[in-house]
Amino acid sequence: MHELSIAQNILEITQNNVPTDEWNKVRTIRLKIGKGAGVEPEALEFSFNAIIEETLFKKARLEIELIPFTFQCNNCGEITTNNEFFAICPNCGNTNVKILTGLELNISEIEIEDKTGKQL
Amino acid sequence: MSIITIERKVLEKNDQIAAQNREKFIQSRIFTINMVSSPGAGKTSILEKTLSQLKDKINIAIVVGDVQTDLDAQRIEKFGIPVVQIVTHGSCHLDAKLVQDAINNMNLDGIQLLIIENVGNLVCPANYDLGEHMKVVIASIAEGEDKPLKYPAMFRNASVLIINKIDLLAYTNCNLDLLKNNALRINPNLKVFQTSCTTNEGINEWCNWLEQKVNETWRKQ
Repeated sequence: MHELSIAQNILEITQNNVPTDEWNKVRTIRLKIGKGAGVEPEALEFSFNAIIEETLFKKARLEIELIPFTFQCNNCGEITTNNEFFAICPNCGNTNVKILTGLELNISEIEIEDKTGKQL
Repeated sequence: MSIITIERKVLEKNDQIAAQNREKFIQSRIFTINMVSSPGAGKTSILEKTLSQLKDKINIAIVVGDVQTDLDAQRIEKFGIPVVQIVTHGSCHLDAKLVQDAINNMNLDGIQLLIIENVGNLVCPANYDLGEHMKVVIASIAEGEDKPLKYPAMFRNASVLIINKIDLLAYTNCNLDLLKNNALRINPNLKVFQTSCTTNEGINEWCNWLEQKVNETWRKQ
């Protein structure tokens, strides 16, 4: 259950990047998570919602974009997208590949309600 | 709505501390391995065999992580080498900070090999760089041949695969070739050893290889 410590890292990065007086206006935190990152999105959302419950961030929600595997064959250079980690070049059958995407665990954007905006 | 674009790694703090650990290991010329496996694959047994063979040849220190108890540290202590037990109290993996705190409490003068025995878990430790030179993943025959496919990140991130409990091959349905092929299809660069801590099969090969790696690191100025 390392999703809890990942959720704590997400909250910490948010606190460090949003001015204190806008903490209660954070609505959406966008994440990019690779399919091979070993993170279960539902468990992460559950953990995050649990740790923000009693905080100024309680209206914030995670929005998770799952990133598929993309890999480039080290033999013929073919680039392939796949939903599985299993990486075999469809062009030449080589398994020696370089993973381009699919291992991300990134926080990309934080959306904050404007001062003039209506409360959700 | 206004949007703050940040594009940061969620585990950047861990990665920063891991980089500090790595710098320290390189400066001190300490070859560091992070041993990972599911619970019961034989991390501590491999560690004991490794210590029996190498403790008089090279200076070794151990950091061992468990969710509860210091039973593993007790098993290591009889070898008379520096050992620190990290009890994570529920957390399923070691992180770079835990390792940093542990090594700050150790005398690493003259140490050539640091072995970090991670918490038994094939999922979470894959995400947490500790600053090690390489991950060594242990899979035992009794776990079957599909572990690399189910936990690809760990096998992709590892440099060495030890297939342990090889003496049990005759008593299980495990297909050894398939196990190896599955692992190599996830990571063709894996160096593979086959061991048994009961019969000592393969222990020499593993220890000789490790000793050579340690000596290569130690010689670098």
